[in-house]
Amino acid sequence: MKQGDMGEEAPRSFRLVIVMTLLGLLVGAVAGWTIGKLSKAAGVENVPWADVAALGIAISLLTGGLLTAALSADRRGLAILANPRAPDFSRAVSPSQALFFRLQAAILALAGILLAAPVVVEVMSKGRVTQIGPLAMAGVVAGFALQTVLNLALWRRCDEVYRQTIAETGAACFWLLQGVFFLWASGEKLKVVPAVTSWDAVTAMMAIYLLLSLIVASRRGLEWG
Amino acid sequence: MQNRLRVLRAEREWSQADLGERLGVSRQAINAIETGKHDPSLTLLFRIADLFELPIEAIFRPDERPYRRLDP
Repeated sequence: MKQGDMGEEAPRSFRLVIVMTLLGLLVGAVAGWTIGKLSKAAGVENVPWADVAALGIAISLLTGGLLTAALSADRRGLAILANPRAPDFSRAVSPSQALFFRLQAAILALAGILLAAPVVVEVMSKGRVTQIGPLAMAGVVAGFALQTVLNLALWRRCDEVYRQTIAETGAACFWLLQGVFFLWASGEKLKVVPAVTSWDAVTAMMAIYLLLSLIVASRRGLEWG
Repeated sequence: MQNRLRVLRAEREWSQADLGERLGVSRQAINAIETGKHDPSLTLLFRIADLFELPIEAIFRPDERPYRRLDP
């Protein structure tokens, strides 16, 4: 076997675990700092849980997108994305695979921005959201349209394992959430649980979707990158 | 499904990335197939068989049936 094949089966290196742990701590610290700053700017003591969750998820997505973009900017970084467990990262990555990683980066970053935008605009507008709301909404719609185009481009370029992972995640998400939402809506109708806003529901959906995507990808043996 | 993909790949001294490039799929797709976490589609099965110039049954076997080499 050529050198590099043992790396494909090698256990995750301790250094990689440390790097990922530190990255997670950094993302958490940035998320906490951002939420604290925003709530202080708005004079809000108790930020709604959905806004906290949305910002936390948004910062994670944005960080993942920026990190993937940074790695996909050069040859060594692309090799790391293609095979994080390889013993060396000298192997060139094909142009189509490089484009795939760059699309992933753009999708992740844009998802983070779209999820954070309504919360940030509401907080920063300090009660004047009705004045700038339509303009911000236009930006959200434009961003969502771009996100849709990028997702379709990624779907066309990915292989059957990725497509099956995406499809399975979507199916699992639908079956889980339709049950949860039905039960909660029934409870809300019967006044046994409190009402939730659509933003609460969307944030819960995003969190569950991301969790399920990690589980499904892990079952398929797909690593980050 | 059981498969001999790793063995056949090793005989040709191809890495997973090499095989992925030849088949038009990612390295991780090859890893998923080799470790039994993904059953390839019919299209990919035929592509694999064409690449190794072997019948599909010589490379893949259902889990409930024990694998045996086909006589030449």
